Amino acid sequence: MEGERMLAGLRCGEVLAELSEYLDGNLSPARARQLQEHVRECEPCAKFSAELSAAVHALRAGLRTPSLDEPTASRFRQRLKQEIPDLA
Amino acid sequence: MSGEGDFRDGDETLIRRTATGHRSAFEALVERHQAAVYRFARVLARDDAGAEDAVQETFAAAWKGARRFRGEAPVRTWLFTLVRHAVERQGGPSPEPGEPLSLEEICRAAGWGATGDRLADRLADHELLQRALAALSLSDRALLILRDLEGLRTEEAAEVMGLPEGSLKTRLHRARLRLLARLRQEAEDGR
Repeated sequence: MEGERMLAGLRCGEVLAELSEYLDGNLSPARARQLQEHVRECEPCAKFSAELSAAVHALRAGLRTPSLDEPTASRFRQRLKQEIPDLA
Repeated sequence: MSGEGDFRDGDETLIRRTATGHRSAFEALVERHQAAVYRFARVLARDDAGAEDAVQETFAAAWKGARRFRGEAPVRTWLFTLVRHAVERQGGPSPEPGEPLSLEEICRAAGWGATGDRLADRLADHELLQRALAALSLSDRALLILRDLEGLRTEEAAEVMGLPEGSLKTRLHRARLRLLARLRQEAEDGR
């Protein structure tokens, strides 16, 4: 890809292809070290890797609500009791 | 709550008690998982009414099928799979647009090699996140919800989606990249 570099034996495109596996801790230790080395020396990959990681974490932190709002929960309870008479 | 089941019990205990007809165990199970089940149903179903029907069918199926639960996967994975089946019985999820972009094109759109403001500073904006997520395809949203929001393991998410693990990993990576691309687009549009 245009503008990519070869660092630590990896091209930027190879790093980008494995970034999720790297962030999820699924790469072998040797491969993970190789990616780390590339990312440490490559500014575009470092910035991109940090932003992808931040976006994934923001999704979990920002949108995960532990419970339903009460009107919705109440509606579900009523419907479930109609569906399952044993619960009424 | 009676002693039949409450929030101190684990899912395995609650489902075992549900299988023997204990209502309070089932109600505790519903209370614990209904928000996550509804979040996932809203992603898959064509509209909110369909999502509510799917939640209803999911818990009705869980009540009736608790005896068949073998514990090979966590209860939550089983419930998410029931959601998917419920939506499929409604006629399936809404159709998705084609996605012809290469990995390089997606990475460029997501900001690789771009200069300028750091997106990380905008990620605390929940509305921005909601808009970006809503703009993605159904399968992208489903994968991000299961893996990154609900925290399912790869094999659990693969089971829910009926995909081989390798395919799930590939699709999840592209979904994350497209999320980043949409976040960047939404952030720039809102500036």
